[in-house]
Amino acid sequence: MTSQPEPGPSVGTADRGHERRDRLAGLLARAQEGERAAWDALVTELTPMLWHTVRAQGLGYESAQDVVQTTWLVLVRRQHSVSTPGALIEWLVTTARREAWRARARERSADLLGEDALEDVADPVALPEELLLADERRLALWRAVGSLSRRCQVLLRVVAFAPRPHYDAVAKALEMPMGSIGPTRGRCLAKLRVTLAADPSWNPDWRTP
Amino acid sequence: MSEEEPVELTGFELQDAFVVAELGELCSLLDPVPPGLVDRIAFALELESGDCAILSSREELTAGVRGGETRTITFDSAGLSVMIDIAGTPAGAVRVDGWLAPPGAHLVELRNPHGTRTARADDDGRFVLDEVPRGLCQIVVRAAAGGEPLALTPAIML
Repeated sequence: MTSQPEPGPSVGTADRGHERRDRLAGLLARAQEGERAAWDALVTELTPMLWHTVRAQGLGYESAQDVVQTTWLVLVRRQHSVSTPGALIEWLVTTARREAWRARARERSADLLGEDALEDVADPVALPEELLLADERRLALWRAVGSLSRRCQVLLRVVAFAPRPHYDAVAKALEMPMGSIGPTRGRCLAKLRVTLAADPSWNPDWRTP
Repeated sequence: MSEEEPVELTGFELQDAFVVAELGELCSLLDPVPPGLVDRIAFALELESGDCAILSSREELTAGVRGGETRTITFDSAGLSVMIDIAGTPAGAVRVDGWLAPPGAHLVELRNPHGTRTARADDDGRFVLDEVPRGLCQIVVRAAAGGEPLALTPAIML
């Protein structure tokens, strides 16, 4: 982090993943012994990953918050079936996804009775263009991600908020099995790289944004 | 952790790491975690609640006049529903009128960061909690005998 010239946010921090994994393992163990501060730290650290998991399932703003909260409440009840950070990540993403699916099913059935629920279903992330247009490089990235398959979009969005050693746990939880060709994450990223390379707005000198 | 990755994908390449980090920042800008969500979750997790049902909430659009300050929230699970109407009081607090379905003379506990308030539902499942301070709260339905939790809601803002 010190010698590299202006590295990006998570570049040049190869050891951070390890630290974070060990930290997560420690937090999990302490949480399971009932330490409140450890739970608070886990919630602070992993809620963004769950938020984006649930929002990537197309859930509305309010129900997404409900689903994330429910996921944590369920975890507290099932915590003893989860013993490693990898298992924790996989369990959380799997549960959040299942709860999101249930919430959508409820919204759909409520929608038969009234139109209220309609607003809350599948609202894609609005693109505040003025924000993005100010930064051509980011707009290029957003476009490139948008051109990927839905599977890839969901996977990369969640991976972006997952602790690095547990990317595989995320892929597993999203039911994207790692085949012999390689992890889906790798393929999604490879595709993204090609798309970005073909876009002149993507700053080719990505190391020094 | 898992099987080895094939050579051409080995190592999370620098550009990929950069792109993923950028995407994370972009998603955080476009769709940030709602303010207060982490605090609400931490508050909800404080409660020792055994294995009781977790109700899911659905807020109805405010019925009546705009700005008329009445909200209706329904909390559901397979076995129990709780519906509450929340109305502002002149003292700046709120009054919570609620119904349990199916009706049961259970205890309805409203916990907030300052403590808990408990009402007993009548035989029709109705309960009232008056002059409840605004802010974070969670409702726990408990058995009248013994007091063990039957169901709880997510933490919400009143």
